Amino acid sequence: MAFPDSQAPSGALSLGAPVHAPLSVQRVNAAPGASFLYSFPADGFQLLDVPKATVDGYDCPGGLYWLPQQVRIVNASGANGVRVLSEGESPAEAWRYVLQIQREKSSVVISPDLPVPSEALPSGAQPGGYLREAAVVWRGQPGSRFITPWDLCTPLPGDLPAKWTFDRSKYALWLWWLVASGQVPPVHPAFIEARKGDLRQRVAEVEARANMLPEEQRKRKVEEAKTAAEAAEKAPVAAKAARKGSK
Amino acid sequence: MATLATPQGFSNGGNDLAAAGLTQSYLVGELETAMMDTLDPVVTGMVRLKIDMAGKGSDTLRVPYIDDVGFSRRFSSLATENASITASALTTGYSAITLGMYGLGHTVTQRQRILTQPGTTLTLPQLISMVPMSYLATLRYLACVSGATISTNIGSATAALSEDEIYTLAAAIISTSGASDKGRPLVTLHPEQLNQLRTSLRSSPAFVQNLQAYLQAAGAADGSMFMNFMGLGFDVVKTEDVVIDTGVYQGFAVSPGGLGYAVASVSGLAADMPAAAEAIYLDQYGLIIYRTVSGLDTAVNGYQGRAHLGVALGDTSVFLQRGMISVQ
Repeated sequence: MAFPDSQAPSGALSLGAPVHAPLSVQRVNAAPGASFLYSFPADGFQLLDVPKATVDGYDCPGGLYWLPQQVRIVNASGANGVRVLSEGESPAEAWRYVLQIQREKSSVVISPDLPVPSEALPSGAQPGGYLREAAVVWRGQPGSRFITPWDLCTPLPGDLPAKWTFDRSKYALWLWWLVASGQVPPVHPAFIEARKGDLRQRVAEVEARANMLPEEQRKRKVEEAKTAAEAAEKAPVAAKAARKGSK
Repeated sequence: MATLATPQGFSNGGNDLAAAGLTQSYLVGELETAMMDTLDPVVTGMVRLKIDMAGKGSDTLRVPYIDDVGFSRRFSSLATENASITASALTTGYSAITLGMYGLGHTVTQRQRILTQPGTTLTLPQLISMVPMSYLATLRYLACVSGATISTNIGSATAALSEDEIYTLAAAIISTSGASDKGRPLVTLHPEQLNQLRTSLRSSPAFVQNLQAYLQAAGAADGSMFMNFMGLGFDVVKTEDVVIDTGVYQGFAVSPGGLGYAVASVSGLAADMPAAAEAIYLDQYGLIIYRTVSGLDTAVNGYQGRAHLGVALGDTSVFLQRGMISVQ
């Protein structure tokens, strides 16, 4: 199910069969969910704590980083440009217009087939891309729920819906690697400066407004705002890095 | 809760208590529906109809916009008496809506219809009457899927939604000329985001010693829609359809019409549909509902609903768009 290269905004893009996530021997009691693509728009960014690690030969010193933030393009016909296929039409045709829209927005679409480095996967996760298919059962109906390798499932007994948590640390490492390896461009500093300005202004506002609060509460709110602003000031923007051993 | 397999037959009509060795009966006429997310995306203005694409010759349609005219284009100063006027350029662009297709159907065996106690389950006509609600749920889902792709975000992927984000949004609306010209922007949040927001408001300096003001601000009313939230010039709705991606709620705010939907009217099919199908044509939804006639040889009656609809975000130069994100 490979896309034609002419449609790919960032190199060859393909959408192969997603890795089947071994959540448990039996189907997990959870709602189904459609497959998706991740696209990184130029103005999407977030501040995340990245663990210290060597990932795919790139040394990450660890700490808070400004990282790109993806949007999820869900494979739902009629939304985001996903087309309904005619009989016999290639599945890639459903995505054709999606890719064109993303390209016009200067967004970078990352193929679900791009392998996630093993260091950025939660322990026990199978090798593969970011798109995983979990077998689920919901209201008696078997189905599929497409997830990421960082979506961790805890099945519960009986008919109780499974609990889901998210491994943000490994996910942050994947984002850092996407930038370090040049797959996704770094966040433009102008966006970061605007956000830093907002956070600085928030400290001033909280200090002014919190006067009427009890002393302990006032201190806590001011401290929270200051901590957030200082963290944002200190955090570097994740940038393209040199790989170990490369010249 | 038991699942009735397809087609619904008398033998699988929910005799789970009988299977446990207990005699049981049903309270006739008291069939209750489960709790559900009843937010109507059309009534609340979450999405607005843009176009009927029937007969347009394409499954994708561009909605054009124009800039550098009217209030956004001032006259140029003419320095001399005989100065000539240079013609102005226009800025144009478009957003695009792609038409999707969705379906829903139920089947019931004839034996189930004959033997079941009336009022203890839904008949085929009753099921058919509920199809428009399922359509609205689909439209709402597509709106949330589209809203989740807004990339200019307010909030944090690692923190709960707080009153600070609400004020940041209010500031964005004020500082974006024309953001409220078509009406109050609408904020769509996951119910848990609304809970996060209420928790934040409880410790707000403005409300900490004024319960009445807090209740008013936190939208203590029932229902799924909060008009003019905190008097800040936007409405808030809650729905579980808000996309959760990477452990982050992808709520969103758009000015009215910023999420548009397209349909393809279906009444043109009337000439082709067999009379036995008793087709219902809901052109305003792009929805046709008809009885299936192929199951009669196996004594199964059923219906199908097919909807032709698509949802798309308008262009950011026409509509205010903000993601309202918070940690799950």
